[in-house]
Amino acid sequence: MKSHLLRIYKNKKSMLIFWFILFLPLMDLAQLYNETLKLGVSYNPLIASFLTGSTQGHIGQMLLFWFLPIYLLIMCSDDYIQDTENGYNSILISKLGKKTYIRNKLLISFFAPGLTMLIALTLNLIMSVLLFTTELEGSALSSFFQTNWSGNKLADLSQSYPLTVYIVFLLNVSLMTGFAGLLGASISMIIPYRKYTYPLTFFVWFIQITLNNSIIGIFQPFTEYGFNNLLPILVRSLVILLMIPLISYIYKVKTDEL
Amino acid sequence: MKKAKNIKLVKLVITFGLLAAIFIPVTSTLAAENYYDYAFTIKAYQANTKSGGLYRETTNTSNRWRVSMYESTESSGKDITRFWLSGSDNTKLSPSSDVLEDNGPYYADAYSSASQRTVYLTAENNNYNANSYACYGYWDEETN
Repeated sequence: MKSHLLRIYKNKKSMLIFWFILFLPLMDLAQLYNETLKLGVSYNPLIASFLTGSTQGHIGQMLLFWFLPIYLLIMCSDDYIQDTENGYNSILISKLGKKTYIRNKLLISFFAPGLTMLIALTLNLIMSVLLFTTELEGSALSSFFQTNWSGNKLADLSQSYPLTVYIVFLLNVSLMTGFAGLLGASISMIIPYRKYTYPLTFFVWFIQITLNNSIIGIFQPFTEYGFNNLLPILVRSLVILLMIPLISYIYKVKTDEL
Repeated sequence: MKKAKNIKLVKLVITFGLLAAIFIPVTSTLAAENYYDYAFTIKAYQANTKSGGLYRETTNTSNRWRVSMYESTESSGKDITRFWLSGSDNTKLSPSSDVLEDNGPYYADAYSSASQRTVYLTAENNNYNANSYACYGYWDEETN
């Protein structure tokens, strides 16, 4: 596992994706800060943070979240395909045993993306707190916090504990990023050909984005959606994103490849 | 002879004065609170939607514009749509305003670049998903 992390670290393509995921939320912040400097619009740190999506056009969020598994495949999830191409998997399987090898592959493709996203979003939040100082009441786009949300428990909670709610969403997004990496790894294990793995992974992810109850709902805090909207989305996404790795793991352990 | 010319001048001044007295109040009421209807289809994939243009006469940035949304078909509950003013070249002329369905008008300032030019009400989904939906309500480019 350690060698696998080192392999990600030493790979220029993987590190390029790492820096990309790290910089995109900061670029989003820079866009809002630019608006503050030029036009004097004041933002609250939580409203200016990446997940809230205050920038016009949401380009950063779309670039990052809509195509997430593709980046993660390039970063580390498709390592299995690389292994099969140069026969490295046979060496590792005879050294570690098949179960350990596959488990390590899946664990790495869960934790490396998840941690990357956690670092990127936390950095974005810290920078936002440093750059923006306005109170919620005086901030642009703060109408969410001044609305009376009767019957919407999540919105009430967001008004009382905005930072806690934001952090819960942040952890949830990191978790989902981990699952997106896992999705790529599982599909590349079932079908170890790049030209099928990439489109299939993208399709499974993107259909969840375009559905009427989009997975984006559980990514974005401070919206009009309450628990009654978000819990079914969370359950559905977890079922999809857990089933595919599970099937892949069982299939891979049961079949013989050497 | 000289006196008659003066009288003519006085008559002229009075006539124009009267005309001005009639027309100036009329033109200044143009900037009062108006209810211009809009009906938008918020496009999928975060594309922007624009209304017809209105001339914003004021040079005062704190002469606020407003927008209200009667109804939106985004979800079964109350929904939010994001509005701002833009120019014909799609430049942003005001800060954005997140408007909740059926919750009265929302007021916001404009940038100085919005002074004395035609402005368009522009909208996009506040959620960064791919949904498309319809919404309608009223807006006004200046309220004072």
